[in-house]
Amino acid sequence: FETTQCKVMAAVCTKMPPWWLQRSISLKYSSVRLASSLSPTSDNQRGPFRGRRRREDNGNHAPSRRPLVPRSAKMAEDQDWPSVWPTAASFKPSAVPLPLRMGFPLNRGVQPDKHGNNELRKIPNFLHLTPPAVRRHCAVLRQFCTDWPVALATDAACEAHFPLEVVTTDYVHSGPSLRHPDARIVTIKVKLSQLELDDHARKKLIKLVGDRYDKETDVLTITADRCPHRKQNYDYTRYLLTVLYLESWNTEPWEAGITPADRDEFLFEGSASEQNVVSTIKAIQEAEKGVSDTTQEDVLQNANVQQYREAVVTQKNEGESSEHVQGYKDSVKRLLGLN
Amino acid sequence: FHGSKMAAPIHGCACRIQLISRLNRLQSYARSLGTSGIAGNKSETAPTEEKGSQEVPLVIPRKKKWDKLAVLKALATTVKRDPTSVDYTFLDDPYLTPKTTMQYKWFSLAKQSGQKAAEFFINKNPQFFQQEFAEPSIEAFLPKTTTYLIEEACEEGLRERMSRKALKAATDMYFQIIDGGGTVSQDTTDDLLDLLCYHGSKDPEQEVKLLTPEEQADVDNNGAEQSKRRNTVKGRLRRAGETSRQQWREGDAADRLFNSLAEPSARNYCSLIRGLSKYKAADQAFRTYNDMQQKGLRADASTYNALIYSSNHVRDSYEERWALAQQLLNQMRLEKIRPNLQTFNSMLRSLRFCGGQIGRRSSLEVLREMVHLGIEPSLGTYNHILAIFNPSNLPPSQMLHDIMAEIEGKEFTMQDEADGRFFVDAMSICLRMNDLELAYRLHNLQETGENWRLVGDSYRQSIYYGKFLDLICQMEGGEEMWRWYKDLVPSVHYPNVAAILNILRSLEVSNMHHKIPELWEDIRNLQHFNKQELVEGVLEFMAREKHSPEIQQLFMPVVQNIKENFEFYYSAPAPPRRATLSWSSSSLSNLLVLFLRAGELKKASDMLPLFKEHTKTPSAEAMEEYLSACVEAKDKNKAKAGLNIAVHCGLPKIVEYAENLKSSFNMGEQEQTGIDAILKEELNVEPGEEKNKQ
Repeated sequence: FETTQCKVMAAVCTKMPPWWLQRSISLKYSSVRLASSLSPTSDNQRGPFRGRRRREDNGNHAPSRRPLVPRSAKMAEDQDWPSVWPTAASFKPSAVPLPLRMGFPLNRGVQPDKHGNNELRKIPNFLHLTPPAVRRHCAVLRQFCTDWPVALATDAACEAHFPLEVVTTDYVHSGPSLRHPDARIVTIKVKLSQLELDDHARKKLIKLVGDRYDKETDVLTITADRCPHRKQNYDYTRYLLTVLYLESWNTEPWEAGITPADRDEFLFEGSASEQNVVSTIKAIQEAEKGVSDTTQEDVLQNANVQQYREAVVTQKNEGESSEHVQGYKDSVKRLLGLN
Repeated sequence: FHGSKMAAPIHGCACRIQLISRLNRLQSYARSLGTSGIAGNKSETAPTEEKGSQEVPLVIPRKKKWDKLAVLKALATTVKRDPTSVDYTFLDDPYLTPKTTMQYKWFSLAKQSGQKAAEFFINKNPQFFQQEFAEPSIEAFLPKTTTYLIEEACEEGLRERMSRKALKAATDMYFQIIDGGGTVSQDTTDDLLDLLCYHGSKDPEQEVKLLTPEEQADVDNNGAEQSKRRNTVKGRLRRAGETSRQQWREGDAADRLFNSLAEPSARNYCSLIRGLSKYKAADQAFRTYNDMQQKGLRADASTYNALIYSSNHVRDSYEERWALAQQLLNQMRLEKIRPNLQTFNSMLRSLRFCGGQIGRRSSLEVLREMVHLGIEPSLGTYNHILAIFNPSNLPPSQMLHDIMAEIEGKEFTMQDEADGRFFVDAMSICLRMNDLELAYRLHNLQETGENWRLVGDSYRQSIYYGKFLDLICQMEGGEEMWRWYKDLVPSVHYPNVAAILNILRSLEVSNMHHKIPELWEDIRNLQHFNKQELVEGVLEFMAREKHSPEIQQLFMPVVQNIKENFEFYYSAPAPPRRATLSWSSSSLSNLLVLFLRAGELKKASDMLPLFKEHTKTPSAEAMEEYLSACVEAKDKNKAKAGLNIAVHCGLPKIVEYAENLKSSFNMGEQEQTGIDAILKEELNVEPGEEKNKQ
């Protein structure tokens, strides 16, 4: 990539014959524009110089009153660009050997060129972060890094070893203050499958956290921003997680009084469907043999009853659909021996 | 859901412990780096993890530590010096980058003075600058308060004044406390004496004085005479970098404080001796040292360094000076004080002033002793040795070769006052020896690591690079010279007129006339275009030989510009302040020749009236060239005008010219008489008569 970049720069440079040299000697300077402008249409009043008061060129200026030729004209084609533009800086037309234009073209003209162009100063540039520069930075910063642990080669391994993810943000900006109010916010993420939870605890935890739990990814996210410092917020998230976990394992006495209407999902055990299927099976047996000697457990162990149970649970919990209804129909027919 | 399956039969309490251990795992890894501990922990808490991770034990590497600036320093190493830019202090803009040494000075001083002015206004109106935008707050940007928190005379008040470096107020308060019958603790007294000795009993200068213009005028009037004397160092004006160092005066605050002490400790004696030798009171320093010895107190290493430093001022003859220094060293050995780098550097510094014989003999012994003690010499050490071995009245020795072999490729930091002079002095020795190879090695050393910091301020830099460029011009081929020139000018060095004349000479030797437009552009930027000597040098350079037509064409813009510059200075309504250009015979002749060679006969003939106007004489070669060019162009009128000038100026071969013209133009009778008339008019010589004489 470095070579391509050099080529771009080289192409720019070769397009600039040292015309300024001949011009600069044969012309008298009335403004920096004559010395520095890359566009030969210097008398054109379009562009960033429109409306500027121009001093009349009466041919009698002191030769000493002459600005420097912009240094971009002196740059070699194979120069080391990261040295020219080492850090983030606002755009300087004299240091960038590119024929840039930006802004609104006036009077059906062309866009204003780079000299004295405020539009180019407003936008952030990344002239200090060219790929060769980034590559060099990486090479020197390597000494501050440690090797990545071999055991953590895959994402799955990372997740297994470090189930708790802590997200904080550091802000680096140029200004008198080092602080940023958003740097205090701490977010922790943990997969529920990584916690030791039984069915009851899991359901209770999900009830407790509400929309902080993402069913799709099985991730619990807790964010804290109420304290002024990051450390305090982090401690608070840890505290919340601990409390939630312990609370979900607790079974309060009133939890025994739960009714089917309170549940999030349909349970076959103890439901009206279970009673109905058992009584129906018993009634059939009585009608066939005159007496029913099978217990309720035996009835439920029956393969047809199991299928019926599956179909009912699926339909109740996942909603009605043609497949579910079809499955329900098949299981009922099989149960009643109609096919 | 393997977790829930496992956890179902376990009691809740166990689960809690496991949960905490899981959450704490990150920290526990960082703390206990024993692999076995981690493996055991893992198998206990997560027995159902994948096989792969169990095979490779998880080893978290220890966190690396580095100092605050390490990352920035590492990033800085990726950047080299940019030959097209100037110092980072200046704004990168064609209008605001300095073009000459003078502008460099003005612009840097202007920046500094702006900062001073801002500081002044902040201190003057502190009520408007109470808002703190910075976090953490920057002490230096806040207005300096003129009032103290503690007004009454007590030790806390004294401490406060000392921490603000208000030495006068602190001394006053100290004596107020003592006179009032109070006591000041030993530590505070020692610290105060240290401060007074270090600053020479005066408030440090960086304290901005808040004076109204009238007060300022008063101070100026009183101190005008003094400051005039102070601003000159050895008959010349003080440079910006130099500080005027005041002298120790008897009865100063430090003296008074020391004398008021009932039982001065070794520390008090040491700081007094250091202050005395710093402020050029060598005699008194040695007297104090003797007192100290008599009381049986022992001095420390830096006190001995200060004594060695000032030993030159108390003895006159070379042998006595050297004997005194040795005596001090012996005393150090007796007291079992380990000498440091400064000891040896002050030793060598004294040897510089001990004459050549003693100096050369003993300096190497000193160096040997340094190596023996395992003290790494600094650049200042080498600078002293160079100075001892290369006195200005003797041919230079080979010492620099040996030194370079020793220090090549090493990185140095500023450790001693003399460190900053090494590069400049070594480069001037290279120039004296005309040793380009050595100069390149020296420059390489300067570019190694952060050694460029030791070259010094802009003044020393200009000397260093000036000598380097001078040497290159003398010894190096044109192409290589031009490469160095482009690299150094104007990024780090602004060459003066003599240096550019050297460059011209080097270009001429290697026949690189095509570089002149570029060089002239630089000359214009350096504001040397109006230096008579240089302009004539450039014209001479271009006109000395006839070049190919392309190169002659290349000269034209330069020639045109030079002519315009001359005309500007003649036509300017008010004479400009400094250097001006005025026509000379050679510059006019050279311009004439250059126009002719570029085929610009019209412009050349326009030059002719200037000879008459400024009463200058064209050279014979120029006139011959002009006339032959007229013949070639078959332009009789211009030829006649030329002849007219030649006759007017009284050139020796005019008759010959006239005959040549007549024959080559095949002139008619009338025109021939016209030419004769020109000759006759001016010289009263009959062309016919002359011919007869011949």
